[in-house]
Amino acid sequence: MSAPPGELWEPWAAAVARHVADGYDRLDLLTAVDRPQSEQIEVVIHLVRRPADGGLDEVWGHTLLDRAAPVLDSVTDALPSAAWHEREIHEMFGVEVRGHPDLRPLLLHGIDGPPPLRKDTPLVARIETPWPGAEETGRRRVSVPGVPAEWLEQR
Amino acid sequence: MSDVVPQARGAIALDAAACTSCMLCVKECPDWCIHIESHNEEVSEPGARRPRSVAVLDSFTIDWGLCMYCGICVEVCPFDALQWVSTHDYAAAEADGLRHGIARLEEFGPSDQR
Amino acid sequence: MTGADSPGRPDRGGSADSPGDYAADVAGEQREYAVAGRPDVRIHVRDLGLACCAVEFAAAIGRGLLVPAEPDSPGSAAVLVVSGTVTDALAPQVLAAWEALPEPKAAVSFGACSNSGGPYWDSYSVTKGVDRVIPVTTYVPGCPPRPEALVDALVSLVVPA
Ligand code: SF4
Ligand code: SF4
Ligand code: SF4
Repeated sequence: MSAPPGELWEPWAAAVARHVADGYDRLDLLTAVDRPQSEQIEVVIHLVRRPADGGLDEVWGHTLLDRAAPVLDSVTDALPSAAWHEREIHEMFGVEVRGHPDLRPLLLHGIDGPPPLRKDTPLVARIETPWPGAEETGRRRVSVPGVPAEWLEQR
Repeated sequence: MSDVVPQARGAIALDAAACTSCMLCVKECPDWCIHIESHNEEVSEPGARRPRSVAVLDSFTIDWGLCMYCGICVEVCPFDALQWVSTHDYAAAEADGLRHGIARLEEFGPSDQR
Repeated sequence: MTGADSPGRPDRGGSADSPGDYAADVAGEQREYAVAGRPDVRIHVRDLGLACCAVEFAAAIGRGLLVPAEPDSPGSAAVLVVSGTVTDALAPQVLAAWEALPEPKAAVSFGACSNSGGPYWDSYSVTKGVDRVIPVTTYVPGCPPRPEALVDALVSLVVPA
């Protein structure tokens, strides 16, 4: 999957604040992408502004976090509407959001376990359900779609 | 049953005679809701030097309680053994009652769509 | 939900541990429908619209297949249509909506999500069928089912096919 356009914004919170001060004060998207191959979690933001002469300016920003211990600086000071998005990134990707006013669960009420949107978080139903496509032959080992071999070891 | 527009994705009819048990639909179904059992039989034809091995379909089940009506199975079937029909009135009193085998899947046919 | 991150949003009673009081919405203010042209099908239907299948419930109304129910029709049964994706987080609210309905009552599971989890059969958060939460009388297949399928299922609750 290719990354959306845009640059690395470092340091993150200051760069976001600078864009907000520049008029990009409408938050369209703030989310994360798990990138296990590079051992990073990528955070993506999309900000827009409406120039006085009409039209729409947009800007994309990214930052990369260490997947083993991801810490993101909150941008809620500059952009209060980022609060829910950061809560979501926190619970879905297991990212610590430094300086966030309120990191209570947003969507995951009573759902324990590893962060669901990490790509190595097993989907239990796919582990427990036998794949009907595997019934064809006893000899050749067929790989099960959407189920990495490591998950099957948990059967 | 109320009338519906043609082209409705109501159900998928199976033409068991056209199905070669190739398992493509089973493997491509994103919901894992098609199950097929089959076995091979040797058929000797007069004049043929060796008996031919043909797959015989023992069971073919679609779980409509799970199916997301995406049509991938219909698209991938190389033998047009699966076809959309607009039938929709097969609600069931049990979740298991939505698991249809060969007989019921054939009853949906022939397709009213093209 | 605190005011800090949701300025101007009405407080619907949600907390960190429970979503808003959806059950009260469904049991209280919600509209009730009956099958058009079928006075013999004495039911009051409420929609528990949780995802896209609810659009088909609305389509049944929009196309005149369902009409507002007479407020006082003695002998009518309450029918809860669960149309859409039930999540584990919302399951207690679904149960509460069901329990709030007066007897006699029946539940219709409308669509693949409600029947089994459907497209979300492998999800970490989706309940694998609303029948794990409430007793279901009829399962309507489809993703989504057509509005006609809803009407047929509602009629068959009273008049077996
Ligand atoms: S329509 Fe889609 S979900 Fe249903 S059986 Fe075919 S491939 Fe599976
Ligand atoms: S893809 Fe077609 S021929 Fe192959 S098993 Fe499925 S229905 Fe039969
Ligand atoms: S069954 Fe399909 S249409 Fe209905 S709520 Fe689920 S995903 Fe949406």
